[in-house]
Amino acid sequence: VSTILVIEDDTDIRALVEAKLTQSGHDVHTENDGEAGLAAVRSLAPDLVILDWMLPRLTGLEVCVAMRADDDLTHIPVILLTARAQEADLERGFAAGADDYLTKPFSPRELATRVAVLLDRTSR
Amino acid sequence: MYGEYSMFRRPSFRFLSGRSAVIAPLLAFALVLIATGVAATMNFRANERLRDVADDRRVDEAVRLIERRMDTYVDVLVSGRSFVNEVGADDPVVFGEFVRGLDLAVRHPGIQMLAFAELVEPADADQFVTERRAGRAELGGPQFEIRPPPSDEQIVAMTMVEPLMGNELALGFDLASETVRRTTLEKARDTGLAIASPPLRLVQETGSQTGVLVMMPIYSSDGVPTAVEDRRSRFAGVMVAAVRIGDLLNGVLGDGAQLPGFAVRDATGDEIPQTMYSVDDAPIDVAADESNLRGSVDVADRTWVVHVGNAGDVLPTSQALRPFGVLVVGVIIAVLVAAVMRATRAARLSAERLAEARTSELDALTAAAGDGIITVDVDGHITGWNAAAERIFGYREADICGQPLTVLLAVEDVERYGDRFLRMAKGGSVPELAALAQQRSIELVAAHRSGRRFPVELSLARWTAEGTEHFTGFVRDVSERRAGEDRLRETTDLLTTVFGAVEIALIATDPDGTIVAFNPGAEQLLGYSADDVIGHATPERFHVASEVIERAIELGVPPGFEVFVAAARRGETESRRWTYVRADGGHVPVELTVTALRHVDGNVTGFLGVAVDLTDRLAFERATDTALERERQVVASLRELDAVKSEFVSTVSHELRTPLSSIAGFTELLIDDLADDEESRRSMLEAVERNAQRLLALVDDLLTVSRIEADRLDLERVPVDVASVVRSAADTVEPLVRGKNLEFVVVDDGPAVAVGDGRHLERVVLNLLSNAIKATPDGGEITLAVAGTDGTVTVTVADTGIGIPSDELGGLFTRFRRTSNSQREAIQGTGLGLTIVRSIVEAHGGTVDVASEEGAGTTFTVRLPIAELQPAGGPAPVTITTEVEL
Repeated sequence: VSTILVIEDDTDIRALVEAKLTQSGHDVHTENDGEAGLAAVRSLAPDLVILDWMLPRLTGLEVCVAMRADDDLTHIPVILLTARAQEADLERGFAAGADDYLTKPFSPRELATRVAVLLDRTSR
Repeated sequence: MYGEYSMFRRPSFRFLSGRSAVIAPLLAFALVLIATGVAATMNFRANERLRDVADDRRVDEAVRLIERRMDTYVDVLVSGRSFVNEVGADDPVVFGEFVRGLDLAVRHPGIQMLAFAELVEPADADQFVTERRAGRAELGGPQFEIRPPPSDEQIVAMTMVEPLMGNELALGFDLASETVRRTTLEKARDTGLAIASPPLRLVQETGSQTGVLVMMPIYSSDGVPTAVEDRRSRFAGVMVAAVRIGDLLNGVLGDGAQLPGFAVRDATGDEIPQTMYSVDDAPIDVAADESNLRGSVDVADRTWVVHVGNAGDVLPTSQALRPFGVLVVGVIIAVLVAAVMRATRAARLSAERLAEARTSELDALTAAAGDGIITVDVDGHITGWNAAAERIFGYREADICGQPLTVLLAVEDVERYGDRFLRMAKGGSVPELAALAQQRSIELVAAHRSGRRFPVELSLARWTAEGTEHFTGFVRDVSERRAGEDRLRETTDLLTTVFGAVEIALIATDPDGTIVAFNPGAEQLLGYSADDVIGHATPERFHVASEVIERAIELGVPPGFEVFVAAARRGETESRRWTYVRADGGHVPVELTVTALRHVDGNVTGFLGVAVDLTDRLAFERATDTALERERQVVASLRELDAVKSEFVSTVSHELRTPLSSIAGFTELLIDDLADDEESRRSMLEAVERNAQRLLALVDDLLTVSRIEADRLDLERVPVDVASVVRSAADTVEPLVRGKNLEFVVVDDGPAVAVGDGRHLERVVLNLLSNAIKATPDGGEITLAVAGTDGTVTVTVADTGIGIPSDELGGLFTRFRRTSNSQREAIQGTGLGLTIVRSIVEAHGGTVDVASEEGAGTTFTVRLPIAELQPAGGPAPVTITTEVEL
């Protein structure tokens, strides 16, 4: 059972992701802004973080950069969720340290698959 | 050309010509010398006469003195003879006392010795010697003897000699033993008179003096026997005086006997003359023998000639030198006269050479002169004509000479001036031409030989040669100068016109700043008249003192006129903005360009200031600046709009994708039958519905905005109960409110009717509510109120949310504008809502206002005109409060 932290300010999407991943057998925790999210990453030390880009207080990119700068957190894989779909946005996301990327609207099945692949890869 | 007509003729009269001129000084010299010689000679002669008189006097004096002295000597001899006759001749001691009593040395200095010589017969000689030796025994001294020793002849030996000292050799000397003495002795014996000897050398003489012996005969009877035979037979001896001539002469003549040329000689009878005395033993000048410088002295039967010699000048010096003075002065005068004549001659020759040089120089100048040079005689006829005159008038010299000057004048000038020349020509109106000559120059219209008329300038010089007056005219063709003057006048006129006509201000000053010119442009600009300032003011009067001081400090010069011209003085042309102060005190901005006015030699003669009124230009510049600034603002706002639009696209994309994510995601979960139970499935379906609503609202917003932009809002104009619209909107947002922990209060005072479009008005309320919900965190409160009072339908949406910074309130209703707080909180939104709100409200004739406090909440108030639909006294409004717990 992997611990997954979902940081997403939109209630419905947070619920959606939580429902899907819980159903997939993960231990899912949620936060709805960047600051609380980063604190939760530190306290929870999850196996994977699902991070929305557009977040109050700290954006998803800022949280991502902060994680990569922290030796204790830098190994945690991050999947970035965003409505931004431009290539430039993709580059910015990976530059910030994201491991994977999903553009809204996304399929919950695809999300679950990517989470499984990423967890499998990092666990090996 | 000037040739035979030359006005510079050589002088025809000369004081002396050629050779004679050389001789003249010599001649004058000779004449003056001759005259001098005559005068000098006359003076010499006069002096000569004066000297002769003096010489005669001297000779007479000497002769007289010598004769008198010799007379006293004879007297001494007489008294000696008396002594012998009375006392006898045999007592030398008594004789000595007698002679000493005579005091010969003092009273008769010429007598060296007085002695008695006694006749002795040769037979008695021995006895005689013995007796005399005995007689002298007690006297001492040399022993008496007869010398030379006695022969057979008679002996006349000196037996008493006084003084003996110095005359020892005379004692015993036999006077008869020597011819000259014996002759003298015999003559004295025979004549009975005192007889002097010829000059002889005295036996006792040890010096060089010549002497004479004067002998007085003594007879054995008293007195002198009458007959010669008796004198011979009774002769006893002689009293002898030895006279030294030098002592005699010195005694009687003193220094006179020492004068050059003084001499005495014996010249008795036919005897050969013998010199007895001469100064420095000089030979006697025989030629002078005949002169008046001598006189004869008869002394005891002898004749002595006394020469007084040329005793030097007896005349006063001035008198003696007069002839020489005359001679010297005469020679000097002669030399001077000759020199003056030579100098005069040389000067005249030099003057002639100079005149010659000048003449040829003048001929050359005259020929080369640019001005026509015309010489006129007193009758006004042309006598001289140079090349330039030929060029100017077209006449050749040969043709014009002799013609009256008037032929050169144009007709009208002949009328004006010609009569003067004509009258002059008729005889003697010289003053007319002379008057013309007084003028510096006169301008005439001249006539060329061809008839062409042209302006000339004539100056006349008056000169006199050989007593005749001439006039020389200098004629200059001034056609070109006139033309130049005309052009200059035209240029000046043009400049004056421009100076007066231009609207810019022109102010000229002298080097010190005093205004010397002030054009109408300056008068108009400054409000001063030219008369007010010219000569009275400097341009400093027109300036603001503070500007002058400021500029003075920049330049490092004293505040004053120098401030404006410092650059111009350095040769720069400076343009600066200044503020002019008009006479009425008004200020005018100007651009002042200052240039130095310079003389050709570079000296500054003044300054020219050109002032241009900048009022219009500055206004234009301000307008341009304003327009540019506006343009910049527009560009900036467009850029901002561009950025906002691109942000809008991104936002819209996000706003579309987010609800779509929920719709698609939950739908997938439902299809996959992942809902655990019915409640879960229902919650998912509600999420789908909620997000569909949200998507619909967004689409509505976009459509509304596009209509607003296209100005095709297509409002209905019907009565609308705003209260019911508000209630509908509250219902619509309920699902949204439900997702958050908010208190939502609706205050409804019953129907409030406005005219308009209900659907759009609902959108207004929806947008305001949507914003309030998004801006308000959990635990906050949202109040929605609607009321129709005082002709206004008021809808209020108040929240306790994050608030809006006060500086962002103004742009709040601009489309795509989102507040900084909402962006920081990542609150969803397109930035279109409030734009739509205001557009719709204003389309209904209403207003929308906002009040907010950051962190405390925001209140939007919409006011719409109320519609008077319901009759008065209708049902009272019912207040319904719906509280929804979420």
